[in-house]
Amino acid sequence: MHHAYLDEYTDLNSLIHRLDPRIKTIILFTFIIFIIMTKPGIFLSFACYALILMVLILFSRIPFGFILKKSLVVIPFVLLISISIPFIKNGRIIADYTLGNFKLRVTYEGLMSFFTILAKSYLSLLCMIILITTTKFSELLKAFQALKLPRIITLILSFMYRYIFVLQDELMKMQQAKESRSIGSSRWFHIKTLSNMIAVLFIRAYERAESVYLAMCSRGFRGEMRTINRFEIKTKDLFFLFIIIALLLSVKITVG
Amino acid sequence: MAVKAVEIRNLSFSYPDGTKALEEISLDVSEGESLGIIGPNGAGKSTLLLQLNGILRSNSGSIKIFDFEVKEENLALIRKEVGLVFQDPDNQLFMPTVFDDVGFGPVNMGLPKNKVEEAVHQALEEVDMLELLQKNANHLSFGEKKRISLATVLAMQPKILALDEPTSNLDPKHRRGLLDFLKKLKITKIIASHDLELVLEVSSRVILLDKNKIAAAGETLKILSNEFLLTTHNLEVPASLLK
Repeated sequence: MHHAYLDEYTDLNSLIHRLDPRIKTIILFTFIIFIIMTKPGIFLSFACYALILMVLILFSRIPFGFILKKSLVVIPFVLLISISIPFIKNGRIIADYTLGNFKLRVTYEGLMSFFTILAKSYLSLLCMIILITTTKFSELLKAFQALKLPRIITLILSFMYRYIFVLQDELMKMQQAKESRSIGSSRWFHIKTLSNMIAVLFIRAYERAESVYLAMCSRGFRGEMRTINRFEIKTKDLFFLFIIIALLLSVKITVG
Repeated sequence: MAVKAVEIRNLSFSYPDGTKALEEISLDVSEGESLGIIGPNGAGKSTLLLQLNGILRSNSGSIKIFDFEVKEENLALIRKEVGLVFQDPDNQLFMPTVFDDVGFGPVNMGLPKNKVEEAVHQALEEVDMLELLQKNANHLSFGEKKRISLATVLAMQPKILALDEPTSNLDPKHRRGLLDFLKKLKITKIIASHDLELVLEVSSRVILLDKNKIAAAGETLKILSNEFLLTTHNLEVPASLLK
């Protein structure tokens, strides 16, 4: 089985792809910090950040459509969380609605922080998308490791990345086996078998974990996970890092 | 006299739930020998292999690998000497990339970075899979996974290679490639398999396990042409030996 949707564009060869994964991670996380630190309502600086991000995407040669599609997935969640803010926050009232004996007031300050949250989360999201679409997942993990992210987290991510597709295949095979043997049974029956399949999947995952652990022990695993990376910081990487940070700082200082 | 690579004496083992898996197994394997382990499903073949590097530890009896008893303080050494390849390559390959997987053993052995890379390249070259170095295991075919599983163990340069069903689910071309490779490989080999043709070609000696015991042991040709013996243990004479 081929599952490509995680690493779809990571094989491209662009300026951004070739950056050292550690530097790339630092750049994009710094970017996010700058975005988050912007005061509410200063939309000009958001526009500047967006412009820089656009240039990065352009350099990375990843189709804009793909990034747009990926970024839209998260927007509903942000809306769900922030939709109440214009109604709750105190301030100058700009609109008043009455629904029966239920009163809704929209405030200017509330609306401003709503748009700010929307802009901040969308821009931060773009940073993350640029990072993960231009870096192979395995390299990203090593970058996290090199940047001293707790081992347990990188390990969990690493095993997840390796086995999520294996489990998905198992589920698919069970599904196919079920389809081949269930003719015209009721919807309720299908729901019941689904719960059985989930249980079986849990047991298989557990058993596989056991076997994988044995395989690790066989190859000398003694409780400490070690990997080697072959990262090498070049002048180009540092140059890029400084350019981006200089840009971010100048936006911060001139616009606010 | 040849050096004893493996010496097993009166080994018995039952799983924590009480299921008996091995009873009174005694077995010697000399250095450089190729031993086949055959037997019906559930006879204890895989369990025996897992004993060899101390993954499962016996309740009674002893195993020695090159004069080192399999016990806690020798485990690091023994797991370097005994390379165990599991049947399911999805269990054998657990790292994000092929490079990390093949390098896992050497890194654990404490080799420096450049030696690890050398070992990885050499092992992948041996199984002819060097071009997949940076691939992710999810993107490999079953045959490729099987070969890389072998490389993950070869990279540790073991003195004993223990294989569990090495040819299962392989297409004829990959199977032939593996067989030829095993025949060329000079180290001690212990192969548990239902593929009796494989055992016939690669192994000089065979033990037949059934119901957790050694039912027969001897020269490969002698055992594998004994129709009565094989059929009583749910096996059959390989087609190439029938007239």
